[in-house]
Amino acid sequence: MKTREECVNPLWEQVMNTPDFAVRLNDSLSPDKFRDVLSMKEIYDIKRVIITGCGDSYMAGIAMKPAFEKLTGLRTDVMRMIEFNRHLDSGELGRTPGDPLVIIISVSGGFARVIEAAKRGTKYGAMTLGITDRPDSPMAKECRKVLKMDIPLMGEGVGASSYVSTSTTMLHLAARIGHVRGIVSGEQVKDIRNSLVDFCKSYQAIMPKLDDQMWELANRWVDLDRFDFVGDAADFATAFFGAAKMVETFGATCSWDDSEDWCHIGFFSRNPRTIGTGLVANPYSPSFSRCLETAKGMSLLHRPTLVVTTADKSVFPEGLEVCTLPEAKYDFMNPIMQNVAFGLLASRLYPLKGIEPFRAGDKDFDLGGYNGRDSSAVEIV
Amino acid sequence: MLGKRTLKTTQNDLREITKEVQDIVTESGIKDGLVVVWCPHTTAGILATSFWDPKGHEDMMEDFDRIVPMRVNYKHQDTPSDAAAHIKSAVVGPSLSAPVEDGKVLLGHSTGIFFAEFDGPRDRQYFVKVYGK
Repeated sequence: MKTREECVNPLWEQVMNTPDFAVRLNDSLSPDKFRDVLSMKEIYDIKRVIITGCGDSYMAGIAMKPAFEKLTGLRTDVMRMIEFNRHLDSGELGRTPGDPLVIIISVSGGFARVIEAAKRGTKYGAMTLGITDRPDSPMAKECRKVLKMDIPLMGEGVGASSYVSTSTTMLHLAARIGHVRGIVSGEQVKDIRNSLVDFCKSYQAIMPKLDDQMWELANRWVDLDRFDFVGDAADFATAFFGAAKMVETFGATCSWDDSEDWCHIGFFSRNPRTIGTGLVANPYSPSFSRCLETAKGMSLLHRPTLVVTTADKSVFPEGLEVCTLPEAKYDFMNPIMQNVAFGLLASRLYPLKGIEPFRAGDKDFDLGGYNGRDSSAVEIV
Repeated sequence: MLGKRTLKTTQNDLREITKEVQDIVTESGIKDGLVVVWCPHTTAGILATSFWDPKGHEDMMEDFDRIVPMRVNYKHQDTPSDAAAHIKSAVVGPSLSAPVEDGKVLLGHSTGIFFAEFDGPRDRQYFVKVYGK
């Protein structure tokens, strides 16, 4: 068995540094930056918000939907990019000038589907806003507005930083829109900003203990290859993030769902003792009671289960591994940081398994230069 | 003598501060002179009006809105409320002065001194300087 030192890797370093990174990120996202993105008139033209992205960007959209709705007072829909690009009726875009606000998230802004989303939204009259680290990217050039994320450097490899960066940027954007619309006051915007920094700092103190817990769990779960992640609404983002890291790092067979559908479908998976299961269950969630029922089901099935929560361990059935994390002053902030538990677990599992992330060096993965993400044809329907 | 007071305002708040101003004058020991109330904010102001009818205060704040309405095409692009508040603040002014006679602020029988919040809610402050002997 490898030692902890032998299992240090770029993802582990990124996750361990996430609280520091998040604090620095908040410093770099000044209020002036958001003041210049949309004019007051453009903000008042918005009647609906659509957020779209792929992978971590889509998860960040899911994570920040409650923040957007609460802070802006606007109906907010988070759409998968293929749904927005190819299936959403074009009549939903540009019914009135500058409405809806379509937020397209992509750190690189370079792959086919995000370029397509920007082109489609702009063509049909929506207020397209690209959130990206590359304002000169093809996607950014197709958007009416661009918000640069300014991601502080955090190392290379499989990352957790883009999710944290994107969700944090969107939270500040939502606060700005809500302030202009009179939903939140200037004092509340300041309090949100300060509370977010305090919340990120609260994670700094718990990271070593959390690392201990995830290292111990990774050693128990090292032989598991099937995983299942469950979370509702904004917590679904954390669950999805966990699943994504297991797939990206060691190619796990994974599923992800909400508590209700897990009780309808995932519940029936065979050999439950061999399925590593992640459940995100927070007590402020309106569906917390259903999550507790789900946890009971996982326990009765003898699923190896990690619960990520702000609640005390005693709330959950015995036998489940419970990771109790700090609670933010505002509920909608918690998904920005709760991903660190699953991120740490993945970062310990793949070196313990002896697998290179993103299937590096795997001959079965050589597709002769084919890249389905970048080479896909752009179509505007 | 310089006194400082803080307050938490609500949106478009008109808050009477007559007692606080008089307390600072009394504390100063000055019997004959001048008191200046100064607001260091640019989206709030200091004014004098009748303290009798709170409905009159609502009328006043609503008329400020009619004279300087919130709109989205101000060149100052903070928020519509903030942009309008800067103008209201400039019109009302950041300070008020009144004579001090026999240790009392010389006000009419229904006159009060008010802190006018044109944006908010905000954490605010104002200063009271007393001159004389």
